[in-house]
Amino acid sequence: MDIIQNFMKIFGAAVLLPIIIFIFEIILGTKPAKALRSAIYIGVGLAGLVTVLNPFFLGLMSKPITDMVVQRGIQLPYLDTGWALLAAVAYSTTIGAIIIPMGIIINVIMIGIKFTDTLILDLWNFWHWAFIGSMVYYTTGSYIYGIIAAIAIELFLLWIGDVTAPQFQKFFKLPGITIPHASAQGGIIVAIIFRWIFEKIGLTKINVNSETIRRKFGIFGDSVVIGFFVAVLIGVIAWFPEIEQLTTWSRILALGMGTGSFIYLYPKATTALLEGFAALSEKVRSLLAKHGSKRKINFGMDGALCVGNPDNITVALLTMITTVPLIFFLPGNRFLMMADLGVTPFFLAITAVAVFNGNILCAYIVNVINVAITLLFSSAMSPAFANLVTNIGTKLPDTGAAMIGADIRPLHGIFYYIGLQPVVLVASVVVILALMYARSKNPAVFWKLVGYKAESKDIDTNK
Amino acid sequence: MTKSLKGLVLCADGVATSTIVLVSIREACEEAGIQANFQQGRIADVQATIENGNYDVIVSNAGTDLDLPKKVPIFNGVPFLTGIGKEEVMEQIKAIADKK
Repeated sequence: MDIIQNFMKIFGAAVLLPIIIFIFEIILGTKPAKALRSAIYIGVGLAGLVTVLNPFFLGLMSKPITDMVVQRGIQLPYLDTGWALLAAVAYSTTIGAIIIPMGIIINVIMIGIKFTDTLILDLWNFWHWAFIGSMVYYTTGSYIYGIIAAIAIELFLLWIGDVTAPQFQKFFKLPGITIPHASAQGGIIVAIIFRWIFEKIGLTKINVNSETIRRKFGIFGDSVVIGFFVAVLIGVIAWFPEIEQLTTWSRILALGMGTGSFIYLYPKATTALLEGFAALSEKVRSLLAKHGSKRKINFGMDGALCVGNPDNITVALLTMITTVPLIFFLPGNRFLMMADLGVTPFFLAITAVAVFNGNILCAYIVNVINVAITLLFSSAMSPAFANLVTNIGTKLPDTGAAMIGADIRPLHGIFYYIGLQPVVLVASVVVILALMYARSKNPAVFWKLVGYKAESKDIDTNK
Repeated sequence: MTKSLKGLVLCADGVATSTIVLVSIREACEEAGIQANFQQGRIADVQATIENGNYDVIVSNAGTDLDLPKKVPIFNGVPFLTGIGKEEVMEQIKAIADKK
């Protein structure tokens, strides 16, 4: 372990992952030229995120955040620079280095013993597991617990993917697909709890028109524009005493433009990273998909397939607007969600909207609750993330009271805290395995929990 | 005469799944001898993108039931993600390139 960590500290995260991916690709038979190109793209994506965009945004926001925290007393020091950094960091750790082969092996074993009917083809998203695993590893100091935590969340996602499959397939019109994606399933537990409550009090009978809302609030769907306005708001709050000076306004507008610029560019860097991944993904996918066709297997995919659903967009837009005041007024929140304002509400809405079968009111309430939980988990775990980033050899710039923040969705948070307690962690793995077995024997019981009305023809399809 | 194709790959956020589809289509077109120029786009901006672009084909990961300003053939991108049904969709895309 130490040799690898020393290697990482010398070369930096942006070099280790490309080398590892290159080696995997060559082992699987990819042409060297293609493997080299994809490795370079991964390095380019990582460098773009870690050495260019992140320091830029952190540096840009450091003065206004420091002023806001120190002089105005508004405690929002943890800056959200986007989920892509979390993925980049996750893949740059020793757990990230092995998560893909390990994750595939576990998935295949689970399929073999019929504990799951899902084969995850979406390799990119293994980073979520590596992320939680690495956070647990660096906080507890135990590599083994980090690995177990990563496995625990993978197993849970395989299980919940299977449980939500019929309802998701019906609601999002995605036959043969499950969504064992940590962000998409982030809100599932809250959704299940509140589905039970709301049905008891009859809230699920109230209908709200999705399309009118979407048309009225459509302008808010542009995260670049939203980011601009939130940044301007931060500038106004931070520099309010000097608000009459023209120079203050020029600084405020520069803040807005810089933020918009960051939000526009960071997906582009992520695309470079993903393009690099695509070669490996494609190779593994073609090998796995052949394996899967012998049995009725669902394919595990990214939640992005569901985000474009009109009801999802409506709920997410409303949530996004609600999130801005929530950031400032939620007691205990220290997390300034910025880059992910246009992402997190959209992914968390997926479970809400599917479990409530498109009921906008119920889904909206649940989604806001999930975002509030996200803000609190992010506030609590950002210091651990900053610690992780420094430990993998990335130097964080001196940014005063502003600190790098991590956008931690509910499921990630839950598994992190489970991971910190060895006994709870091992117990949770046992419970999840038991749940997987229970589902394989009597799936309809679980389907009901997530709002699926099973018809008699479905009982046979899970053999 | 090389066959060429200008296409748009749509995703909800324009990043994750559309990149995978993009790489997959690009390679499939290369193998079929089609010079492909595929760009990525988001569902939120699809109206403006189609209006201003001259796309021969759209591949979407976020549903094919879209309200488009111009009539452009649209295909489901999920086969490119799972590999299942990919050949059928590619046949249809190749047919469009042949007709140009």
